[in-house]
Amino acid sequence: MTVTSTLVPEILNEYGAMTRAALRDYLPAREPRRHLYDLVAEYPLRGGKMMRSSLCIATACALGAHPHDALDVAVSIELLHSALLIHDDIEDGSEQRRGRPTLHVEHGVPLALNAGDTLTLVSLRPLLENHGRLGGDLAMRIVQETERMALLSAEGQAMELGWRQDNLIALDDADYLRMVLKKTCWLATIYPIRAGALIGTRAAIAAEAFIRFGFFLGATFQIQDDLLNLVADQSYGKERDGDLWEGKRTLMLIRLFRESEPAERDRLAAILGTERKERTQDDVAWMRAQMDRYGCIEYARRYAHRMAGAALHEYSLAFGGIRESRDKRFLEEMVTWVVERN
Amino acid sequence: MSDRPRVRRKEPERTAPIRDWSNMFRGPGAQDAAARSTDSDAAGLHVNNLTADGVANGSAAISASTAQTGLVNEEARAGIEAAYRIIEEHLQEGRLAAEAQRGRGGGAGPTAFATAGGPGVGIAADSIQEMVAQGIRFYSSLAPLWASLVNSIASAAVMRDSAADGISAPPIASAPMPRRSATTTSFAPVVIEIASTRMTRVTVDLPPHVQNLTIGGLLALEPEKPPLREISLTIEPGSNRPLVRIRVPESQPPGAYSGVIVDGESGEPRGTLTLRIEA
Amino acid sequence: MGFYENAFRILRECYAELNRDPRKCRMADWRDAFAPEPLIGVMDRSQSGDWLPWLALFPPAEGLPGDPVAKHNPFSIASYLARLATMLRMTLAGAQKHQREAEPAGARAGTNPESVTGCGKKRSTSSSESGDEIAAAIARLFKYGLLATIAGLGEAVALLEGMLWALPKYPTNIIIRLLGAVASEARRQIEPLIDNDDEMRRMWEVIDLTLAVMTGIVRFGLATDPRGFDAIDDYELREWLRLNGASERSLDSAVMRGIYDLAFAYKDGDPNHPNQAAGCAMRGSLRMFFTYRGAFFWRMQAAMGDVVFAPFYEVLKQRGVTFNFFHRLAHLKLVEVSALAPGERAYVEALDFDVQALTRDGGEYQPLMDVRGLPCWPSQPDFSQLADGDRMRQEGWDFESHWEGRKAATRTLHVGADFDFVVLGVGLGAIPEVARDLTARDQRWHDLVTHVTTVATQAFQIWMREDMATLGWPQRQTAVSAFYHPFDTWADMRHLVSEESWPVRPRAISYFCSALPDTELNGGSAEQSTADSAPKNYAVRQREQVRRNAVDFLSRRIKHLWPGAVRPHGGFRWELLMTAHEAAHPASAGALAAGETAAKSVTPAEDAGESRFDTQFWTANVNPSDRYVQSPPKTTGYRISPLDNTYDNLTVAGDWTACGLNVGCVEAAVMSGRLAAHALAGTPALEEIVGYDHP
Repeated sequence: MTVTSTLVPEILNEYGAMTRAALRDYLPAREPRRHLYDLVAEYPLRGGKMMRSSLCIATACALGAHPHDALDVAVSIELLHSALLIHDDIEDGSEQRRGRPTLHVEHGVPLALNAGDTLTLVSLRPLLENHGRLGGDLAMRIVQETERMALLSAEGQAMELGWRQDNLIALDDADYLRMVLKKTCWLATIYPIRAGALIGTRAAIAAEAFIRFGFFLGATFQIQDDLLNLVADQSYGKERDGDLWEGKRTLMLIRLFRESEPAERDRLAAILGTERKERTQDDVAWMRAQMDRYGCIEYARRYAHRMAGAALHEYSLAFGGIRESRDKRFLEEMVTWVVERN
Repeated sequence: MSDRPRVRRKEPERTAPIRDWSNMFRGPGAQDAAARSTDSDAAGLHVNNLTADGVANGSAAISASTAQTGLVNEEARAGIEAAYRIIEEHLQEGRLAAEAQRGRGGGAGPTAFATAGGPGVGIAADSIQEMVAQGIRFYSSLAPLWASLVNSIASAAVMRDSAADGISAPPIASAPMPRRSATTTSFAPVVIEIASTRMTRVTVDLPPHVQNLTIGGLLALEPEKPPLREISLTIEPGSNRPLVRIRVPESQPPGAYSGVIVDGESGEPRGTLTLRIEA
Repeated sequence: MGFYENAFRILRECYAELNRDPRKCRMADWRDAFAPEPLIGVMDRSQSGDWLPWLALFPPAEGLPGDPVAKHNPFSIASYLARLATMLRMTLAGAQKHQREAEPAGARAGTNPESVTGCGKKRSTSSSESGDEIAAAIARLFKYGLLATIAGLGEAVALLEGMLWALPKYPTNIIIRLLGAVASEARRQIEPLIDNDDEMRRMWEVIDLTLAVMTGIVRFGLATDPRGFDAIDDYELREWLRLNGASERSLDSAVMRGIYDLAFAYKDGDPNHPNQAAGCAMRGSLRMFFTYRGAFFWRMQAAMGDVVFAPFYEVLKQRGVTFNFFHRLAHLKLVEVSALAPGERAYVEALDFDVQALTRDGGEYQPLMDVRGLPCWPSQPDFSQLADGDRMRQEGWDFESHWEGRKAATRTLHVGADFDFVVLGVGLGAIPEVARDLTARDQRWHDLVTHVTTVATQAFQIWMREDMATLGWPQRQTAVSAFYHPFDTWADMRHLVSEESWPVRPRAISYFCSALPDTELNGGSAEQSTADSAPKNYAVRQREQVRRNAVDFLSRRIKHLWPGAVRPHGGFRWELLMTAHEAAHPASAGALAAGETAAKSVTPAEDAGESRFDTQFWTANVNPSDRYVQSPPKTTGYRISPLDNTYDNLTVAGDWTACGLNVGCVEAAVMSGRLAAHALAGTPALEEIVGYDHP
């Protein structure tokens, strides 16, 4: 069942543009530019899907708020996301981001790191400025939510990096999900939706509201993201097969290891045990071919659909009682968009 | 000697204290053990109900997802159930942590805020508004400092080492701390020549062993104040010391002006210079 | 100290179990035995060289030590960091207030620091408005110079504090940089203000040290290091603080000196060689400052023997424990390796004792005597209970001296027949002698006695006929440290005046102590202080040294503390010292273990000179097992834990063990005892030992 949603791209554009415009106000426009503030502005201005910010604004609006109420938080999310991308790219040794060279490739690791840290600090500012529009209590509540999310993201990142560092590949799907829950879902989906809900309801949400929905949506998103990295036709952000170069523990890689013969496992472990720069084109090509051979791509695709199904179920539980609106429909259609996009 | 067998000590479960506080959702064994033992009935029931909910959700989700994919099979069912187990686990962890924070009296733990939504013991400001307003003031007033600080961290190596564990992997305990790293108290001798009719004060941060340096203009925080452009940085002939020459025009408004000292070749920042003109 | 959770808990349980009749005994409840002492001081040196008492009133904290703790240990480095930020902010606020008060009238007229920084309650309604407000505030900040910027700094720290309470996992390097900004700004602004302003200087020293501690915690990643504070135990405390930006002035401040004095942390007792591991010191100091309950310090209302050990003894007797006094452990014998079955662990096979004395009737020795309803430990044994006791008394048998070799008998206990388990609880200084089997056969035990050091201590106590106010100390009762070496620590014992059995009551009692250098032995490590290497008159010579130290101290130094106690042209007023008219045992001989020499009785000849001091009390604590354990850098790892099961019928107890706290103090000793209990019996649960699990 494929429904090509037009609403989702429409809203992504609308809220994305709104966020991008507001975001500029928070990028410091003073010296040092060449070594700091220009770099800081790079990723945020390069664009991206603006999915996170849109989720936040849409949820807020679906629950009755005005888009501008959620704008500060949306900006903060995108800034923080960009900041983490800078660090991710360095840690992963990635070379491409959003169609252009990564920040550290262009400017070197020290300046890029510095810019990333600065961007993290810059992302705090909108949350503090929030208090004017939303009131101190709600602003504080959002800060608390941000804290929780940042913590969990770091934990998830640590998990994944730990696996790479220890060259651990004998993982199962549950391990992957636990990691994705913390590393991706909180920042990408759970937190934006919850923050939006806090704004929309003036801090009257249940302690665990939207976490399940956010989890399944985020997991779907991430699995699909990983798939696209291997099969996308045109460059959609990172370089093709970049994940294989990095040794990222995706569902496909885990499945590959699980299904491989012992000798193949050894080879896989050997490849992944080396530094990225020591891996060869042949290594990567071999891994990719093996994935086809063992049906890992298909497996992950099915998995993503399963997660999407669960997400839809959770959506109906979470948003069932809310009155219909364009924003609410956007949230529902996000689920399919996330798994169908290419 | 007695006939009965010698009494021996039991093997202890551990012989060292737990010093690792990094996993903040789980305290030392006691937290879980005590929490479970004293609340075991309530907690156990609670957990079971939730698991039941989770399972109920899971089954419904399976139906939803099978509708989605058309696949009814073991793989699908196992996948969904695993996923639900994971999210329920996660939620339970969050509940335990929140409960633990409440039990602590809300003040001792750093995540005190994560629960009730109120400030923990010891928060400085009288009100949240105050704190947030202070935050803006702090951020803004430190902005020029921020820029200069960011550049005067002792060395790129320090930045790499310390920044790498900022928000990614936890710090590796055995990584040597940079004992050699220069603190802000280590300066290279610098000669400064200022031409000004008013009292000025200059602060310079420069690590030792510098050559081939340049500095652009000095800028004030307030945009209406023009930058100080008449500034040069050379090496004093004969002594190898950096020589800074600044001319402050008569009309230059009083205030603080800062700039970054840059390696002429690589473009990397090396230090900062701040000039304060007294009114 | 108020953070001695384990010690107070078992003490309170002990008193509760004893259930003394308050009508008969004046210390029936534990609160009769301990009184809160919130006023603590250190002796500060001004820039002109004067000694000035720097007293601090520590606010009472909720609860009482020994109260049940929350379900789990509430200690985390992140919470310490937040508390440090709070302390920093409050000290900065104090500095600001002080600065404002010190400003000459008329200068900066109309400058209200609050208004300078725009500290209003008005809410901004949009970003641009707050931006204007901020710009104006910054302009004002720079215009009004120092005064305003201390206030601004305070606000910056307030934000840092808020962040640390709320956002502990903010990227570490961001916090480092913010701390660095605050630190360099604080140094830039405040250091120039401290010349000739003692109060400002003190606040600055506290601020500087607090900043260094916070910077160190963050830079060294201690909040997430799985080793906690152990991670910095290779550093010396001052060295570590210096690495983190503390200035030399602050490192020499009274607070720092006090921290060393409290721990007797001087290599070989030499005051020129302060030495303690940064990790142990940080853990101990943070617990001391931030986790006390009730009061910072709890003063014992009588001698420690009477307040602590007598009740313990009585409870244990009630429970059926047998005590064999006058037995001195001579040798702990391990089983021969050849006698072990394959895979069998080594164990203690026998214990050799010197029996110094036997009781006349062969029954158990009764150690306590009743002093006005309170069971007390006398300072001399009750010779009347001992066989041949008269001769022993005449010959001056000194049972508690390491060098007293005389004995009445020997006795050997054998495993299985006489004992199942052994708790080796002697002082570290005695280990090389009594545990030769262990130190010879086991590298870890050899390392323990080689690396973990002890130090001898010295003390004296005087009774005076004028009260403290008359003597020139008008403050309320307190304890003060960081004074001259020797006798850097002074405890005002005026609460004991009513305890004494004097015909004419003294008006003041004071106790002084400090480390005692080993002038004769080579170094203070336990390894070397064996009976063979130190002849008996070593103890006598050291005691004489202490007497000279005390007389010298009173002659030349006491004037800084008690101006009223000296003559107009200098010199101590020896006539102040009171002598006993009866051979009373001093029921209040400070916090020392039994074995002190009693104040001798003299005829009221009114000796007016310094020989009057001979009637007072002093001691050189040079017995190897009385030596105070230290925590030098790089030695914590050599401590052995009571939980260690290498010898499966042996455990250890003492503040020298790896007990979690790892510094010499009562709390560490109690923790080690509880660990030993756990080792043998499985109880208490390790999680119940408060503070054992602690970063």
